[in-house]
Formats: sequence, structure tokens, C-alpha cells
Amino acid sequence: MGGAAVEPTGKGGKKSLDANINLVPYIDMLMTIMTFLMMTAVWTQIAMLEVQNASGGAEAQPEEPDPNKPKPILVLAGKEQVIVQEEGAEQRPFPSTADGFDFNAINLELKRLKDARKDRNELKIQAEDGVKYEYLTKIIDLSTGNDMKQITLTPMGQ
Amino acid sequence: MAVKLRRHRQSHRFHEMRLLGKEHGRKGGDVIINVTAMVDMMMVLVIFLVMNFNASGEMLFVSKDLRMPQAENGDEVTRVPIVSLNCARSSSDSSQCVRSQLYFEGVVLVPDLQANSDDPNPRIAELEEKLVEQRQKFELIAKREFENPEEDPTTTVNVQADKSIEFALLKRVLMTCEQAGFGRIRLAVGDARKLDAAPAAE
Repeated sequence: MGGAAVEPTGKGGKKSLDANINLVPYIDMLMTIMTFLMMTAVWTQIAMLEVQNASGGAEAQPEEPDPNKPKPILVLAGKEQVIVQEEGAEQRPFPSTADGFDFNAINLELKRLKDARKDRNELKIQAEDGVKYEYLTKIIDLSTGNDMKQITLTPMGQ
Repeated sequence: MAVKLRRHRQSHRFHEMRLLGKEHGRKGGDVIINVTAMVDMMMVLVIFLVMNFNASGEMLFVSKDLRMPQAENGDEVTRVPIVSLNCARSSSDSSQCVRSQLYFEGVVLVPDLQANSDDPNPRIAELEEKLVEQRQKFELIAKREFENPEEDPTTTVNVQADKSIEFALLKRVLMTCEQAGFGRIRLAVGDARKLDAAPAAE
């Protein structure tokens, strides 16, 4: 870098063929680009998880029950355990451990329920007051990863 | 364009000092610095910064005290009203949340938010007032239909909460947002996919 070949002049080979390139404008330009990029850099990468009808405060819209429509998945998030079930079906409890919950197992169960009915998009999370936000976002994240598009988050018992 | 090396420095005083040169002044005082390494380093830095460049910019202000949970399947951030739920930690145990503060668009609304589980209507009046005010402002400026409902600032709100916050507090915020007409809640999380690519200090 910084050197370039020059065509020979034809007056003998005594002169050096190296030519000096002025690097000052190049370095100035790099410095300017670097300053701009450093100033506009975003160091915290943020994403969004969407939930609908979050608080359960709004009244549910009455709708005609469709027998062919798949039942939603229900996730009951408590301090001691997380229960995953198809609404009205058998419950699968996942008890809390010292490190939190076994989210791999929860993910497998969600995947199993999704695979059973590919057109199932609805998932309801009911949370107890003491559940940490971190665990709730993890459940929502896993649900989104399993292509559940209608996720609702409501307090337990509503 | 060739660089011409001067025989003498412009500064006569420097030249008279005879500091440079092998034999103290018999040769010229110019020094050639090898800039190749510096240019290489700058090129690497520029490439790194260009690869990390985000044209959408930073839409959410993240306080240094706020520890967001991580998620792998999040969507892109949209510019809608932001409600933050921060957590003041004790100096002895950083995992314990001593006091929760509620912010709206970066301004403190409630300095010490309590769970208030006995109250049958746990909505936060200050937040509801601000949200309604915000929606009226947007409607006055431009009332229009959004192609993507996630971008509608009159029905969608970003909620940014510390990962150690309990649902009892979050429930109050979510219920208030919904009662104010913001039924679409977007929970802010750290993007674990980008975090894996470029690890950053928590």
C-alpha cells in the first residue's frame, strides 16, 4: 500500500520506478467515516415481542364456536411451576428448579402441540403475580418461535 | 500524485536544534513514518463499523440500570410511545429489586410503583392520563390509517421492563395501557441473535 508502478520513460533504467502516493486525503476520509460511524453506532440491540389483549381488562368479543378451529394452547405460569396444556386437555407441569424453569422441555411441549395442529396460532398465558418478567418473556419468545401469532397475556384467574 | 520531500523544515528553530538525523544536523530533519499499519487498522475498524451500522437508529433509550431479558424471536422496533419500568437495586444484592420506577417517554411518572394487589382496579392514573394525552396529540397532528398496525402510535405501546420485575407490577402497567386504548403491547427485549454475533457487556 502506498506504492505504484510508473511506466518507464525510455531514457534508460536508472530512475526508480516507484512513485509515492499521497495518503493524507485517504487517511482523512477514513477518519471522517470512522467518526461518523462511531457516533451513529447502536450498541444495544433491541427487539420486540408482541402480546395482544395483554391485561385481560377488555371484554372478550363473543364469537361463534367453530368446531374445526384448533383449541388454543394454555400456559399457566406460576412461581412454582409452569403448566402447558391444550385448552380442556391434559396438563403437563414443569416444576421450577434452582436455575428457573426447564425451558427446553417447555419448548418441546409447545412444539409438540403446534405440530399436532399446524393451523393453531392462539396461545394464552396466564401468570401469577410473583412470576418474574424474565420468565414470561422467555415463554412468549418460545411461543413466537413456534409460530404462535396470537399470544395473550392475562393475570391468573381471568 | 507524488509527495515532495522538503530539504529543510519550515521551522528554522526546529532545524537549528539538530535533533533528528544520524549525525546531528548534517542530514535533513524529515522523518518518514510508515503509515501502512495505521491505514490497515483504520480499514479494519471502518469495515467493522459499517457491518454493525443500523440505519433505523436507536429508538429506545435504555437506562444503564435497566437489565432487559433476552429473546431470539423478536420483531423490529417501531417508534411508538414508550413506557419503562425500571428497577433500583440494593447495593448488597444486585438481583433484588428495591424500588420500581415508572417512566413515560424517559420522564419519571411514578418514583416508587407498588404492586397494590388488594386494589380491584390496579390501573395507574398518571400513566393513563399521559397515554390519552399522547394519543390526542397524534390524532391532532395526523389521523391516518397505518398499513402496519404495529406502527400505529395511537393503539400500540412499547413496554420496556427490567427482567427482575414481577408480573404484579407489569400487570398494572399493561392494564392501564389497555384501558387508555393501547391494546397492542410490544415488550422490549434484548436481541439474543445479535448478542451472539457481537457479545456486549450486560
